[in-house]
Amino acid sequence: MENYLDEIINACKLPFSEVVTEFKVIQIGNKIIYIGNFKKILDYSNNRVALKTSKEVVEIVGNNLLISQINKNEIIIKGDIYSFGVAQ
Amino acid sequence: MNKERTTNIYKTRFKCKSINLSKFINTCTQNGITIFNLEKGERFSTFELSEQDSKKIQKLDLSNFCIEVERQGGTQFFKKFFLTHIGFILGLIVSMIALFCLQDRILQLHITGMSTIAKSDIEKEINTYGINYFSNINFDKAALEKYLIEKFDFSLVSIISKGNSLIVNVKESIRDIEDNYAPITADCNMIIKSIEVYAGTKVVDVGDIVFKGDILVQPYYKSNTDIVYVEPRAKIVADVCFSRSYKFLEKEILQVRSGKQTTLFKGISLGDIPILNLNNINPFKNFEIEDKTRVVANYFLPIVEKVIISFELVEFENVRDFEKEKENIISQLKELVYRQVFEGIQNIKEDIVFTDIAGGKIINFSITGEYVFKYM
Repeated sequence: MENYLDEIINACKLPFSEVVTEFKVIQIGNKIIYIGNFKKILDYSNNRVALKTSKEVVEIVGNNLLISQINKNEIIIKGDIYSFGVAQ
Repeated sequence: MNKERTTNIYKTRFKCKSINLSKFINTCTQNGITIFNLEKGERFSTFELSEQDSKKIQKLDLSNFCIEVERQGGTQFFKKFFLTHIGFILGLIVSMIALFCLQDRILQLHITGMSTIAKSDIEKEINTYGINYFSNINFDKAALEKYLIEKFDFSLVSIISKGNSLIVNVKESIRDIEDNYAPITADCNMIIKSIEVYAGTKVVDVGDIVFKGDILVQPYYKSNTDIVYVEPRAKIVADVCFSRSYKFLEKEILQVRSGKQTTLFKGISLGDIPILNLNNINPFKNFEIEDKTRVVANYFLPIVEKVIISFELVEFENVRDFEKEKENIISQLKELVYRQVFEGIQNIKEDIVFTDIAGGKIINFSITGEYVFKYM
């Protein structure tokens, strides 16, 4: 199904970044990180933010973490980001 | 936890004392609410919502979460701001309206220049004409000037407006002194030879020495009780005299510039405020100062540059020969004296007198003649 979807995207020349269902990450330095296409937030504290995506769990570890903006499937986290990890 | 918190007046700030913050966040986001600036504190968390989301969150079942409003935002914020500053805002509006309405109105009336007529009389006439306080300042001022001249017999009335002030400057007519007869006065220095008065009263006699401007005949007859003014008429014959003198010194000390100069002061000022001043000590014993002032620019306030330069002077003794310079001095004196002489003088006699003084001479050149003054 996923391969079929990829083939349609390639055939229609649709923008890849806008039509995928996997999570997206944009990190600017170690101060700001944007994560899109997540399902829900699992844990939030000043040192750790854990998010549930479609298949994985995304974890951001840092210090003084602040959720600048969060809505249904996008989140922007600011603070001192030490690491970003993905677990199955 | 010290974090940067940007105050956004368009968003409402909430406080949440829930333990399970993640569940709260998921509940809000699943219902289409966007949370801004979520900060987790020790005892409570704070977050901001837009005005629309603030109304949405109140409709959700969030009884498990202890949420309260910390600071209103959006229209509520502005409403509160205006209510708490209502006095200031109303005062500002009233003053702006007053400024706008009174900009072309007369608020002050200044009347100057009168000496015998009272200010209140002039003010009363101006009010009668139709100009009062709070009247429009842009009226026909020439017509009011003409009205005041006719009413009070002024020789000059000038009305100008400056801002909200109306300035009226008047000049009263000079009263005629009994049909404007003036006395006869001497036109120059003279010795009276004869005086025949046909009208008026003479105040000088034959042999009197009079100077320029002295009264010779008064324009009236005086009896014991009355004074009758007349136009004075007289014929006066007098010896007139014009002279000039020059002091000649055989040795004179002259001071001339040696060629050396130094700048004592250089300054730039903005109006009356000095901006830059550079001062130097004058090194010369004998000197002459030249002051130059130049307006560099003249916009709102003039920028003026001032420079003071000192020129060194050296003295030297100049020995003069009287015989060589005598003719030149006499011709210069003669030219100066003849400039004063007027037409009609008869029997002109020139006289040159040399008087010795210590170190030189005084040369006096004079002209005497007879003149008949007819005041008819």
